[in-house]
Amino acid sequence: MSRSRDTGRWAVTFAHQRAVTVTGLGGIAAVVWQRPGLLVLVTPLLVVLVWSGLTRPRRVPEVRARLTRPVVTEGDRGYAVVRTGAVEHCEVLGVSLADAPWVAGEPLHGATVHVVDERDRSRGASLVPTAVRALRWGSHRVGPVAVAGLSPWGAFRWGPVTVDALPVRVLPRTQGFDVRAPAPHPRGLVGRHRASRPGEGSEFRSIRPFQWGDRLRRIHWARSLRTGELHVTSSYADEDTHVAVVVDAYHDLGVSEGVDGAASTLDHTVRAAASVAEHFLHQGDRVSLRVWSGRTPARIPPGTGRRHHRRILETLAVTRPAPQEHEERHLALDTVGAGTLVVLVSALISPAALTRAATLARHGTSVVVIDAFVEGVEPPEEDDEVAGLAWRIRMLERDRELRRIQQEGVPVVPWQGAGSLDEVLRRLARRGPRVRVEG
Amino acid sequence: MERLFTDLRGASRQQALLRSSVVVAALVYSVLLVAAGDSTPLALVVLGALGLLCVVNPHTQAPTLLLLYMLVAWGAGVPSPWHPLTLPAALCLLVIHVACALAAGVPSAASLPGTLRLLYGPRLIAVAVATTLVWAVAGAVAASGTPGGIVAALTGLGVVTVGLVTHYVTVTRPARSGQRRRRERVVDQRERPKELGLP
Repeated sequence: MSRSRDTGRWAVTFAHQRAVTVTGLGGIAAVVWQRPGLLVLVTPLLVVLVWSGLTRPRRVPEVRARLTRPVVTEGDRGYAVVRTGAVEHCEVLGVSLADAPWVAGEPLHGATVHVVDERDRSRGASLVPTAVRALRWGSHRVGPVAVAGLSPWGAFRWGPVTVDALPVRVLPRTQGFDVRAPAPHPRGLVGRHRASRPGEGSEFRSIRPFQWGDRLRRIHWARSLRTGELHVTSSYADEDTHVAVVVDAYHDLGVSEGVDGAASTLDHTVRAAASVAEHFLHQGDRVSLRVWSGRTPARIPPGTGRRHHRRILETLAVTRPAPQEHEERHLALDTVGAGTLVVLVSALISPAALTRAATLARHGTSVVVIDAFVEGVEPPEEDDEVAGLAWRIRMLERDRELRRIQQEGVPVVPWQGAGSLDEVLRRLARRGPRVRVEG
Repeated sequence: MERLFTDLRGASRQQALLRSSVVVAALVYSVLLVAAGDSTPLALVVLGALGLLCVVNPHTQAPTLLLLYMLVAWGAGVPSPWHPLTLPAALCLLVIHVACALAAGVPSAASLPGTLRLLYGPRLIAVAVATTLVWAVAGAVAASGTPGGIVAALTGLGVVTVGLVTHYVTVTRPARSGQRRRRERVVDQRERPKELGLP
């Protein structure tokens, strides 16, 4: 909730000045030159003038503004609701929003006109909703909001009064991520992934002879009658896995035009990370988040549930790109244990992230790298020929580094939304746990 | 100037209609002026130009200039003290004044709600009725040939002066703060979006 800094006052408008001037001069001319026709001409304005004078508002209203949804997903609409105290003879309210980055008022500038009605008067306040649309993830501001009131005939105007900008947190939009493949090596206690070991679960494994401790409801009567010995059905255990989502926010390349336009590498990175986290959390897996950034580094321990999902999205929403000196020193992943699936989302501009991914893979961890430098991201436009040449060389080096890491068994997947990880996760699951290499 | 045209380009359809009514009223007035008496083509061109200026600039003194010019053009172009076409001419002035006042008072990009028409329709009719009465009385006085004289002129001027002074005193009375004498019902703010039916 935000209040106005200045309550303003009811001021005479040009319209009222016009009525006074035209009526006064017209009246004087009509009297001096004895022209009743001129008096008739100014009569409407005289009536308007008297009406306006009698209905001049005596008090200034109190104004407040708030957002119906302080946290929204990018592309979604919310409403800035301006609440103005009811004042006698204040009959029209106008609201508009100042231009703010990544927040668009609808219609243009969030311009809204509201006519004060009986309902407003009975409840003692007018509520003027203005639609706002969040165009890009991040922490933004709506407004400042300008509010003005008009008396009858537009003779007196209150405001425009400025109400402080309203903070809004915009969560990244999750793309239609659609992994059907199982997580590679689940090690948790509960979940929806089929484990490699037998245990309590829903997926059939085999029919085997009865052992002490088996549940009676698992007895397979048909087989038991045929063989004359008790047999039970066994199943694979259902387990969860720990998915460590790692976001490389050291660099941001390309131009971001919001949810409806072109996306930068950081846009792709954040949206991909949000999608991956959402998908695995919905599966009941534990998801942790690590953001590598010189400005907004973050670490969220593994967790599950909707609240954890919200926490991850809010952390991603405040991510700011900033390079870090000696990046490799800051890339330790202390929460990565056996059975963890590491999903590294990066534009892979710096070799440090790839080096770290290769090290993890060599230690037996399942690592998937999502390449956020996808088609459509425009490289920086350099007028300088040398800089352009340096960029091309760096891209060639990057291609070589990607080939090398893939040769080491780390899959690199360009982020393409739905189904990006399906094939990779299937291959990792088939491959089985990697042998830990010492040193 | 660029900002004014940007404002005009981004104007809502209702705002555009409201502003265009100023030009229409000015054109109707020029037709009435020609029909009621003598007028030069230059006067009509100036009338049209001022009308366009008001469309672009309703929140300045341009409409004042237009209305004063209309009065002068009528006084200079129509020789008789009273003419039957004075009534529609007066209504043109009313339309221009109200259209400019509303166009200047609200954001140009905002669409105007239908309730605004419901609010101003009866008001305009009431003012038109009052104007018709004055028009009829003025016509009767002009037809009777009642002499004016210095006493009538001084009385008229006195009435105008008293009116202006009364208006000045009324308008310059200070407004009170909204916090005092507040009779607003205290309602939980969280109820508001539900009341408005917003998501």
